[in-house]
Parts: sequence; structure tokens; C-alpha cells
Amino acid sequence: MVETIRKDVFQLPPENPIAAGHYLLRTTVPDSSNHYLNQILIKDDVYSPKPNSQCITGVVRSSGLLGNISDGDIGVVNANGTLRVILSRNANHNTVLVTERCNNRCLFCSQPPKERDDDHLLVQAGLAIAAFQSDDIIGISGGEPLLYREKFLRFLDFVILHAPSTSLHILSNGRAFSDTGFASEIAKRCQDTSITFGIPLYSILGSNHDRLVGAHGAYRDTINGLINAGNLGIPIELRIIPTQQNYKDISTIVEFSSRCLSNIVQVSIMNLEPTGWAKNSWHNLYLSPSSYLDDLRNGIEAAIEASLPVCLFNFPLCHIPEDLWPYAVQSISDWKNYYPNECSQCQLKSKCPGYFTSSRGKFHHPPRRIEQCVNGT
Amino acid sequence: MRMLPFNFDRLDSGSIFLSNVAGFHSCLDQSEFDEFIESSATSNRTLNDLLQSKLFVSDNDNLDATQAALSSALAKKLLGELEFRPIFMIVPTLRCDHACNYCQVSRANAKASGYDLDPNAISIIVSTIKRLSPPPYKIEIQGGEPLLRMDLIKAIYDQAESQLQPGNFELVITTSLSLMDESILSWARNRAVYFSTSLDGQQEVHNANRILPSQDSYERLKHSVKRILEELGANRIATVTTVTRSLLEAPESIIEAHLELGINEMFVRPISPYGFANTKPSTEYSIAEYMTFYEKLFNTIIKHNQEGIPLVESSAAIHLKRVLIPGYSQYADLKSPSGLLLNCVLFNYDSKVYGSDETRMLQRVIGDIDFSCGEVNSLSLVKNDLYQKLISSSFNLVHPGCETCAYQPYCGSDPCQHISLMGEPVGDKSLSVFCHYHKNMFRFLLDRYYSHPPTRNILKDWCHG
Ligand code: SF4
Ligand code: SF4
Ligand code: SF4
Repeated sequence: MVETIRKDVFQLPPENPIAAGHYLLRTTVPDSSNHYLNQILIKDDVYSPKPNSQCITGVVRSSGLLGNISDGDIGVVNANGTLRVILSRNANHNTVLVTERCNNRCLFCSQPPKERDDDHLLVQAGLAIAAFQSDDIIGISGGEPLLYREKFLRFLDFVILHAPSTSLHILSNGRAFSDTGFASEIAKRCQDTSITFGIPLYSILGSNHDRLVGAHGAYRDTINGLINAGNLGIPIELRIIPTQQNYKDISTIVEFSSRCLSNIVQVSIMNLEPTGWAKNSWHNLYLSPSSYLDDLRNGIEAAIEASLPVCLFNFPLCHIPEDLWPYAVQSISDWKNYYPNECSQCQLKSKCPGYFTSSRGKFHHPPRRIEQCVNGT
Repeated sequence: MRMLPFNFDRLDSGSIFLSNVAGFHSCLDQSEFDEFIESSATSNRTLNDLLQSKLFVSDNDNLDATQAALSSALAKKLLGELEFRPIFMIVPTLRCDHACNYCQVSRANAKASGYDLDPNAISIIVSTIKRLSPPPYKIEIQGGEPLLRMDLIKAIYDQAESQLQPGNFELVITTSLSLMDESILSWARNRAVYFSTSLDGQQEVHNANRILPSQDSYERLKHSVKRILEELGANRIATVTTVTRSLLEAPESIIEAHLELGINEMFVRPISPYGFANTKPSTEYSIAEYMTFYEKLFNTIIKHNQEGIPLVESSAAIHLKRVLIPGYSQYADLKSPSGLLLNCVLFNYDSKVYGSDETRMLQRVIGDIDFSCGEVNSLSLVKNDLYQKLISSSFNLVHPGCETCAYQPYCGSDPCQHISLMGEPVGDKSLSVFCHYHKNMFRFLLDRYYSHPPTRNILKDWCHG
């Protein structure tokens, strides 16, 4: 088992089962009930009777769980008796999945879309965010959250009303914004709370983008959507994932964004994640950064020229040359992040994004020696 | 594949420079260009992808998205260039100790009276600056020779410090430096004060242009620059070189003068062709002559760079930045709409407010039109009819000549120059000095940029430096 930075899934002890659902996790007995979610008390393994409180619906005795959560975290209990912490006060990123449906079929989707109706996820996400009451950013991911259209607007209204200090970062393919009416409804809500949309654009060659996202017509929608969203004042983080098919397009995507799009608050260039579908076609997709360094540099240069903030995500520092380190950020959510043994001696570890837990085995590109740093010479 | 609208121009090396309204550009060789025109594609696939990514062609499926992107880019560009981001100029005095050949209208005799700013106006000027735009502020002190009224400059600085807050503004003093002394230096030391000076070549040429009764303009300048460099540092002094007939023959003199003074960055431009005095020919030389001069200057500067002396010529940098850097519109004299008022608000010594240095000069030669936007007490920028007309007639996108010009997205327009030479703001571009100059600069620089990789690297550094 690989040690991740933060463990997020726990097997619940079978003695006193907890019904499936979302819960507010408490480490002390609350003196009031929560408006949004039922509360369960997490205790250590030592037996103690269930406190006599109306406010909690169950007790879980698990030192492992207790040691990994804080009072007020949100967990989901599944029918098979596992508990997954979905919103954690100790996490570096909190992301809530609101749907598994999508109108794209990206070759490297980390969360391969399913067709089934899953509206309940959106409702539960709203409740979880409201119960969590964070003044930090919460990520909203899918699937494609904006497929919900009207329901998504209601979800935003709910969050704005019930968790007013929470900021949202929403991952979307941006296609829904090609509908100007819908885009303006979202734009209105962006005035009330801090919302950023992370929208990927993989090429300015329509057919190339469409091929990578597995959907004909996606490019048209995404381009029109990006134009609308930006012009309406919706803050956009533009995401580029270089693959074998589009690494040459990095700098033209950046130039396009700087000339044609408005309100791009950040350009994020992301190293491919070996999860989901990406694993299937890894060998046709993945390209080691060292083989497209010039394209990467030109893209970064184009962004700097246009005063667009630019970041590299998920690039282990030893895979990119030193002049690019200032752009690399620690980005991988801690529950899927790990550092292989080779990293323990590395002086850059505290600044390095490290690896995806899923990049073990055949997907793993081992850490490399950085002459001047690894041994501190 | 569908071709979308673009303009093009043939460079000296034979390459064709293409641009579109979104501001994308590309450079093709003749055969690629012919193929492209013939069949909307060249035989080079990478180039085709590039042309498509830059919106010169579109696949049929995505035509509407490509068109939307082009218009979005145009809108973004226009909005950016319409932004009100002025430099504030203040003229404390029109008097000057110099009597330079080419400066007939923007000076008065050093002993004359009635050409100085009323000290009581300073506080209103500074509060007007504060009202007009958010920080940071750039305040440029113009003349005449402003050092004749160091007291007013200090008062302006003090007002700025109290009203705009230290750290929010910088003061640039445009001066010949002939009156610079140690007390000014020590005053400037811990203040956000910068100097900008005219340097017209080495001793002989400079003194022939910059006429002081004592005939030692260059020596004084040299001494002052040296002291500024020693006491304040290289970032506190910048030069401007105005090329006159005599300098046309001596490009090396400009470089030598800068090297002699220890300044690496120069800003060289042709003399402005304003036909202020009707008795004088509108320009002293043709742009063709200027370009011959500029090419020599440029080549020598590049040679110095290759030998490790990092000289920079800012006019070149500005032209290239316009092409290469999306959204670059910081230079008031090369943008469309023109930088008039949008990028400059000038407070004249007589309390009148102008939209540029050139409008106040126009005022002195064309007395019967009011070129000001009122007095500082009764300022009305938005409602001013004249400026509305001037700015709205300065969108080169719709100017005859410009609308088919490959440099249109990067070029600008100069309504004042066209008024002074042709009596109306748009100007006949086939006769316009503004057009000839900029067209030739773009042509020349882009040709060097694309035909000579070592030069390109140097030019890139200039743009990013
Ligand atoms: S847009 Fe692509 S990556 Fe995102 S959920 Fe849909 S298929 Fe997956
Ligand atoms: S050795 Fe590990 S910690 Fe060091 S740079 Fe590489 S991946 Fe990062
Ligand atoms: S002024 Fe001349 S160079 Fe500039 S855009 Fe117009 S035609 Fe072109």
C-alpha cells in the first residue's frame, strides 16, 4: 500500500453500522443539531457508551479515523461500510463531485462519465458545503456540472445563501456557456460570491480538441462558451493538458486566450494524470515533459508576455529544468499524492508537487537526480 | 477550409507578413503564400495548423466559432486601447534657457514674464489628477525648461506626496539638465524623481541643435548625467534623441554619445514634422532618408550587442511590442484610437488643460480653435466636443489606407499631426509622414526579426526587458 499524504477512506468497524449517507463528523458531542446533515461522533477504539444526545445519530469508534479528521469534517458512508472524508479541514484541496454525467468523452478523463441519473449528488453537495461552513475554496467537479443547467443555478443560490464565505472553483468543459442566457445567469451569481471556472482548451484546431475530448462539436461550444463567459465577467482558469496529440499547441492556445478571451485569471498547464481513461491510452497520450520542453517554455513565455499568470501543475520538479520551477505549484490533492522513497533525500520535496498515487507501476516515471540539489552539494 | 480576412505586406527579404483584426500575425515565404492564396492551405502541415490557430483560416465545422473569436479579439483590443490610463503632464514654465532650432513653439525666452504656472494652481492640479484616475500616477514635468522653476517642481512633489501618497506616484522631469546642480541631486535622492533629457549626439552635433548662449549644452548635460548616474543610479535617467538633418549623417554619434555618458538605452525618433511655422518646409528630410540613417544606426547597435554591449533602442522595442505582445498599448503615440487625452492629460502653465503635448503646440499656431478641454477649474473631459471628434476620428481600422494595411492592428493614428499638415485629423496616408515613418519601421524591424535569428534574439530581449 502506498502511503498517501492524507488518508481519506476508512473501513468502519462492523459493530454498530451507520446508514449510508452524508454526515457531519464530530469529535466532541455537539450541543445542537445541524440544519443540513446528520452528525456522527467519532471516538477512539476504547469502548465508551453512546452519549445521550439528541444531536448525534451514531458513534464510530475508530482511532484511525479520529486521527485523520477534525471536528466538522464531512464524510460519506457507503453501503459497503466505508467512510470517505469528502470535505476535510486538514486538506490542501477540497473537491466535491456533483455528477458523473458528461457530454464529452475525454480520452484522459479521470472520472469516466456514466449515464445514470445522479441529481442527488448535487443536492447532497449543497448540504455538505453548507454544513462544512468553510471560508476557503471548495472545488466542484464532475462529470460536467453545468449539464444541470437550471438545477445548477439553484445549487449556486443555495451555496451563496447558506455558505456565504465559501468560494467555489468549478471544473467545467465550458460548453454550456455557449448559451448566452445561461452564461449570464451564472455571471450574475459570480457577483455575489467568489466563483472561478476551470475550463480546459486543448487546441485551437477544432478537430484536434474534438478528438481529445471525444465529442464532435465540443470545440465550437467551448470556444463560444469561453468567449461568452469571459465577456460576461466570469473568472476563468484556462487549463491545458499537454499530450502527444496537442503539445505543439500550448503556445497558440495561450496566444489565443490572450488575444480573443477576456477574464482569464490563470493559465494552468497540467501534467497528465494516470487515472481513469488516461490509463487505457496512456502510451498514445502521455509525453514526458522533457520531450516537449521548448513547447512548454514557449507557452509560458507567451503567457508572461500577455501578463497572464501561468502555473504548471503536477510536474515533479525533477522532471522539468530549473528555469521552470518557479511556475510549478504543489497541486495534487493530498489524498492522491505521494512521494516515492527516492524523494526522501530530496531537498526540493517541500516545494515539489510529487506524484499521483495512481502513477505506480507502468505509469511511473521515477524521480531523477538533480545534480545540485539532491545531495545538498 | 475557409479563408478569413487578413492584410499582408511584402518584406525586403521577400517574406510576406500577414495580420488579421485579432492582432495575430504570421510570416510566409512567397511560395507558401502563393499556395495559401490558391487553396487556403500550404504544403506544410505545421504551417497550416499555425495559420488555423491564428484564425487566418477555419475548418468549415467551426467557422462560426472562429468568426466569434475574431470579433471577440477585436472588441477586446479596442476596449483595451480605449482605456483611460493617462500620464499627467504639468508645464511649470514655458521659459527656456535654450533656443533650439526645432523648438519654436514650445518655449519662451528665459527672461520673459507671464509664462509661469501660478503656484496656487498646484494643489488643484494634483487633486484633479487624483480625481481622474486611480494610482499609480506618472507625473511628467514638461517645459520650457522646468528647472528654471525648481520651486514649483518641489511644490508639485510635496502636493503629490500629501494628496496621492508616497509610493503611488513618480515624477519625471523632462529637462536639458543645463541647470542641474548638487542641491537638485540631493533633493531627488530619496524621492521618486526621474530625469528625461534630450541627447542629440556628441558634442558638435548636440551643441549645434541645442543652442545655449554659452554654447556648452553638451558639456553641461554630460556633467549632469554623470552626477545622476553616480548619485542616483542608472534607472533615474533616460534620454530622447530627436534626429535632425545634421544628425542624419552621423548615426554613430548617437551611439558614441550614449556610450560616453554610460547610458545603454536610447530612444531615437525623427523630428516631428509639424508645420507650425508656415515659412518652414514641413519636414527637414524625407522618411526614406531617415530610414537609411536608422538602418545604419540599428545595424551598429546590433553589432554592439553581439559584441557584448547591451544597447537598446526603444523605438524599435515599442514597434515590436505592439506586434508581439497582446494588449500592449502603453505608448500614447502608437495606438488606435490615438492616445490623445486617453493616455495624456496636460496641465499647461496658463491653467489650460490639453490632451497631449502636441495639442498645446497646435494651440500656439492655430489660435482660432480652442484645443484645450477647458481650464483646470472648469474641466470637462467627457463632454468636450473637439476631443470627442478627434478621438473618434482616430480609429485607424476604418481609415482609408489603414484598413488594408498589414500593420493596422499595431499602428496608431495622430490626428494632431494630420491637422497641422493637412488640416484634418484622418490624413491622406499616402502623404502622411506619420504613416511613412511607422510603415517603414514595422517593415524594417519585422524583416530583421524574421530574416535574421541572432537579431531576433536581441530584439526579443528588448521587448521583454
Ligand atoms: S469534460 Fe472530459 S474530463 Fe471532464 S468529466 Fe467530461 S469527459 Fe471527463
Ligand atoms: S525527487 Fe521527489 S521530491 Fe525531489 S523533485 Fe523529484 S519528485 Fe520532487
Ligand atoms: S498609418 Fe500607415 S502604416 Fe499605419 S496603419 Fe495606416 S497605412 Fe498602415
